[in-house]
Amino acid sequence: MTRRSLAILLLAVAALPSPARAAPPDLRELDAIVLDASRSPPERRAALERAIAERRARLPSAKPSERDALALDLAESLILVRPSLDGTDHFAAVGLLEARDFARVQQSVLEAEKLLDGVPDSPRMRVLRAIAGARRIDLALGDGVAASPAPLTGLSSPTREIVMIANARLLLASQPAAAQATLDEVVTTAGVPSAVALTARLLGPLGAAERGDAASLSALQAIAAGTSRNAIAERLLVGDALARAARHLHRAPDEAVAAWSELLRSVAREDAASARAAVIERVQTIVDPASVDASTAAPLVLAAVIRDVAKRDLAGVVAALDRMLRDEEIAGLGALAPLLAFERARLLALAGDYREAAQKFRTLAFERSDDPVASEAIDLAMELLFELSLSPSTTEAQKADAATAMTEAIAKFYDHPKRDRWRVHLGNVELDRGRLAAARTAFAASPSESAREGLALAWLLTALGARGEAEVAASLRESDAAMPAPAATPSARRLLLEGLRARATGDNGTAAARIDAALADPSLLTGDVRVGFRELLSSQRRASAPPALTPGAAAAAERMPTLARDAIVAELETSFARSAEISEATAAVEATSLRTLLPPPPRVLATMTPAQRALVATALLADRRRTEAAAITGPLLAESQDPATMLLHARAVEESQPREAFDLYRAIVQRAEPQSSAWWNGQVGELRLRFATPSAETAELVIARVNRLRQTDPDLGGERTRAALEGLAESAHAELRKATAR
Amino acid sequence: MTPMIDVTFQLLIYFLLGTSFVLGEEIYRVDLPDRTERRERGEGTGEDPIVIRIRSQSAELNDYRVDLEGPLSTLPTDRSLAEGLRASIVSAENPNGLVSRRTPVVIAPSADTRWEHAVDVFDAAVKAGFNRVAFAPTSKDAPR
Repeated sequence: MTRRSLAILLLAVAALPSPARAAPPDLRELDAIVLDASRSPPERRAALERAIAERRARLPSAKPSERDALALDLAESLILVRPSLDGTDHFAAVGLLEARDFARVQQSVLEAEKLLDGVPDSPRMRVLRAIAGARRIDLALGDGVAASPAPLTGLSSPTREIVMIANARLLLASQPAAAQATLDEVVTTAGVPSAVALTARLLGPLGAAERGDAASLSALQAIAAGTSRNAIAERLLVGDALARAARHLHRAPDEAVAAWSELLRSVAREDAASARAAVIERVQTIVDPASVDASTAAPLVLAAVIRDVAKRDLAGVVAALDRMLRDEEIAGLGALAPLLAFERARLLALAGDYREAAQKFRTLAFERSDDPVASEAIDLAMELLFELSLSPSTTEAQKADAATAMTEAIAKFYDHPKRDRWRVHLGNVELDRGRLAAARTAFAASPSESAREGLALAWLLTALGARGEAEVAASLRESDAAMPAPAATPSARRLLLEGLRARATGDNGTAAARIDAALADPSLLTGDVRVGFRELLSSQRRASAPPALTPGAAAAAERMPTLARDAIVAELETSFARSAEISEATAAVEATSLRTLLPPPPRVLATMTPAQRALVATALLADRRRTEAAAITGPLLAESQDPATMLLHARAVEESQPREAFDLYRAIVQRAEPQSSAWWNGQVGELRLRFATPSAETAELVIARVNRLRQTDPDLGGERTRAALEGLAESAHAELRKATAR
Repeated sequence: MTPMIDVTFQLLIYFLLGTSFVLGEEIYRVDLPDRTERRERGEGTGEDPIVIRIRSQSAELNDYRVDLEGPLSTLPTDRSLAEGLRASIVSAENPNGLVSRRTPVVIAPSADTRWEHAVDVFDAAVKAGFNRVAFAPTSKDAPR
């Protein structure tokens, strides 16, 4: 689809009559949701905000008959319902509003007062005006400006008590006794809501703390102890009051932390996340991360500032977390436990222990699947599992475990927004494991473009591994069907797909070029690099082998030397692992077709085992590249003096340093197990060097030795050594005959 | 008196002419190459030597026992030692030989072997055609 047609389609969709816009939201329905205490607070708050927005929108064009009611409803939503729903009313009443809430309340009061100014006098209007007056007192005290008491006339409970508390707050500093009397009256009023009563009870001690009375803290602690366990907002408020009192008294906010910790310890599971978020936010405002010592900090304090503390004392934080999580019941973590477990796993990942981190994230997500951290934990676990399973050092068993874990997570977290991405990850892991059917299943379940590319890749690999032509054709058809439309700039995987497609159809030249271009892209997945190397080297052998790794392959080898090593070794092994069994001519032909790999880049060579380096040297020798082989065999010989290594080095230096080679061959003949492959090759090498300058004497020596060896084994150690020894003996006989004739 | 003086001069001249001035006997240090050094320098064939061990059976001239070690371990029993050794040497006429003329031969008599038996074996090796024949160094000769 072109951009132009897409734009037209979008315009057309925009022009369609939308039901949402055609029918404005039903205010009665929204109000019902707001008042329905059985609904969740976020749902009620969302409904309220929609109702406020709708009333604001309707107000300018409302009929005069509806306008007053609409204005009163809006004012009530702004200064009474909203503060009540978001819990700011009581916080405002005791002067504990957060700065951002303070600004919002101020804005709401101003808007409400403006609305009330335009409405005729009525009992409802007077109540709302009194509330606005009380809020204005709160705001004035917050700003430190003078305010006059709000009138109580005509007000009934609980509006009356709210205004009384605001008035009492005005007197708290100048006439504490009068203020306390007013607050006591509020507390003792029958039927007053518990939150309003709590506000009144807190204000007295808070005022005392402001005056520097240390006894106020114990009064607040007594209030904290008596607060209902289920009233989260009230307990948060008590904690805030304790923190404020501690600040006035210039003391550490230990009592507040204890109150909030107690809240998190006992909070119901369904409220744990919101309570934890509120508490953490509060602790962050009163604790300086620089002063927190991980070894002595309370779990709540550590949880609130853990990332800052970990930056300067990672070991201390890890030790503290391990200690707390070891027995979370004793540590009294409650709702903090999932957060701390998440942070512990995160620190493991930061420290590079990805496998352990993935395990911890996964365990946390499965055991606390209802906690908000579970979502992020399982996503991190999946990402880590994916990255780990594609790591070159990961074993097949670990990959299998990762695939199982990913499958379980996809099944359990069925509504996770990242599920499609996980499916693609799983498909890629299965591709890397060579389980093409499982990979296809995983990719097919996801509609994303990367999943379709994965599916196309899985089918292409199926085609490359297929035996019958019909199977190849069917797999290619499936791959073509899955292949997404080409983009303007092809992705690395897209280039790989095109290369493999060419490979499957026998176009090795195109295959090599495309795959090499894909390998040059650092964003190519590890598993794709593995496939790319394999198929590139294979297609280059079938086309004409370039004399060195092509640029893309060289860049990929530099990035992932162990992957390159595995691919190169696999290619060499198919030709040279049993080099004793193939003729020199065949080995030379094989070596020529492997020139792309010889010698591998130094970074790749450095990752090879001695046996793998010996294999490279063998291939180089078969290609008669003795100097390059000697550069490998020399260090090998320094590491190990076994006959096979000595033989390799002797062959490598036979032309450049014949004396050293001769001594090595002699040493092999003396040290190697008689009649072993190395021993026979040592005999050949020694005699070859002896006869390098033919003479009657050396001819006699060669003939005598070959005759003796024939007594030992009539087959002279096998086809290759027999041919070499018999060839030498024949030359020696000719030389001897020539010498005798002279 | 004159004859006495003549005789005295005659004797003086005789002793002057008959006297030779020789230096006192002493040991001179001479650096001789030994076999080990020679091998280390890479000279020689580098081949393992044929070791012929001899043990006298009696004081009779040909009554001794010979055992071979090294590249040649057996010889035909129907020939003399010299002929057997010659038959083992590779040549244009004998392409099936097992050793070369230049293969070292080391004669290793046991401590109680009679000298004539050792010399007999030495002669047989030289007669067979080997041109590197030597006696095994005794423990006293062995390089330290």
